[in-house]
Amino acid sequence: MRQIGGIWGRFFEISTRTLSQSLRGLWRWDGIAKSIVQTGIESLPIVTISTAFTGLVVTNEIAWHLDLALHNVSMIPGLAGQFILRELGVVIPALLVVSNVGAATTAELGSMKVTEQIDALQLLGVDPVNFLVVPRFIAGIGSMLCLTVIAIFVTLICALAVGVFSYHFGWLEYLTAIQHFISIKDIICAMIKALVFGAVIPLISCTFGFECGGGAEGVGTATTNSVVTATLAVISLDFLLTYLSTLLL
Amino acid sequence: MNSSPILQAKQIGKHFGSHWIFRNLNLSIQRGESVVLLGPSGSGKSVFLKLIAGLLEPDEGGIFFPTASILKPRIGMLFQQNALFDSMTAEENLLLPQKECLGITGHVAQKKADYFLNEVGLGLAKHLYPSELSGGMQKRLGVARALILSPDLLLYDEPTAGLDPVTSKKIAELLIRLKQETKSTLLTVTNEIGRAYQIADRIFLLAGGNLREGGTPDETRISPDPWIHQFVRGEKNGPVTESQPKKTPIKSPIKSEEKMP
Repeated sequence: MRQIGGIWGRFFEISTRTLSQSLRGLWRWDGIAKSIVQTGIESLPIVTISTAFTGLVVTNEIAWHLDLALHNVSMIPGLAGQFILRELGVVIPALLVVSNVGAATTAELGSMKVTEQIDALQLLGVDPVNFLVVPRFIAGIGSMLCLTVIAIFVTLICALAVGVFSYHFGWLEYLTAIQHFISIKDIICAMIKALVFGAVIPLISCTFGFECGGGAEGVGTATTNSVVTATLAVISLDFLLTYLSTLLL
Repeated sequence: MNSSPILQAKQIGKHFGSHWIFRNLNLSIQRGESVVLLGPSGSGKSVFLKLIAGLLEPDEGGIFFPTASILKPRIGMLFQQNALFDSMTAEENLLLPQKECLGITGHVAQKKADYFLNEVGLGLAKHLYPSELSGGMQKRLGVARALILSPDLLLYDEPTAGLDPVTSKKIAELLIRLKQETKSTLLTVTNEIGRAYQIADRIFLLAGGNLREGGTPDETRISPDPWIHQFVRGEKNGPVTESQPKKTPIKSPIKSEEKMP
């Protein structure tokens, strides 16, 4: 497999084993709790602050362009709401988790690989995939769903603030306008994206950690490659899921 | 020493890419025996240990455990860099194998961990993390972790590397004492001749892709084999320094690879 598919062969192998063990309920609650703290709780401040500012900037940009081109800002709630719910509130937290948690995961597992700790686990009868990947996978899905809900909420509040304070919408007027544009399909689409990103990010990070070699330099290289790959994966999967959702939902 | 072999390595060969580390290695270890494997750096000693531990798969030949009741005897290993779990305390390093491998937790696991920590002189350091321990203490913790599952076969990869002579001697004495107490079988890889004489019942030299038997420490000292003669005396000129890794073309693609973690 490694000869044929290189790192992607290994990714597929690790993903299959992780999924199989997760579905069989081979969960390590202590590892999951630790990973939830690392992925979810410790990422919360950066996700909240970043999405808040992004919401402010994007809503201002949308409003400014609408005003400039159409001399009409009545579409602000709908356009900003759709964009936040389907893209911004999902992709920004995912990219932040890649840079924050994904990099740390690859560095940690890479360090364990080069110091033979993963060999030691195997020799002691511990399955490294079950011990190191499965908890991160489950925590990644759970945390990403929660972070996405929080990010969407914060960003919508910021968009609402821009609408109310800069463009003189009433609170109720803004919320009613949003209701006309946003449907349950948008929420489902956002949650599916969050679930997929939450699953893929730890799998990519762990694969690069397991494949790490060559001492400290190898750990650095693996971490960089992991972040680049996971970022590209998030962006390309976002496109794919958006496209599929327009076809299917 | 029991005369039944616990391990038989037959016609073992291992390569990485097109480079054969060694080929046609044969080694038999009797139960209760202490075998030391000497060899220059890069000769494949650690690779050989990992093959026995099952962390790598041989490309040629096989490793057999004739007396094992099921498939394989329980193996404990001290890694070259200790491979201690750095996110866990000394005590947790000994609790994890018991929980994972034997399903033992709570008071029983705690008691066994305390026993082995005291045996290696780390009773007061059980709440410290590996990064807070000295090199010698890390080695001793590695030894305790290798012993915690009461293994039939113990593999020590450079147990005294990087330690000062006094600590090195103490570690070697610890290994001998624990071997006598646990009646386990040892296969130790080292470059230190003095430690090899101290620990070994039999000594082998892995060099130039071949395994050469020196016999007991006394026999090894006066071995007529030019490879062993040169290595144990640390002489500059001879076959060991002249030898290069064998590069043999491989007919088929790599047929086995490092085991998936």
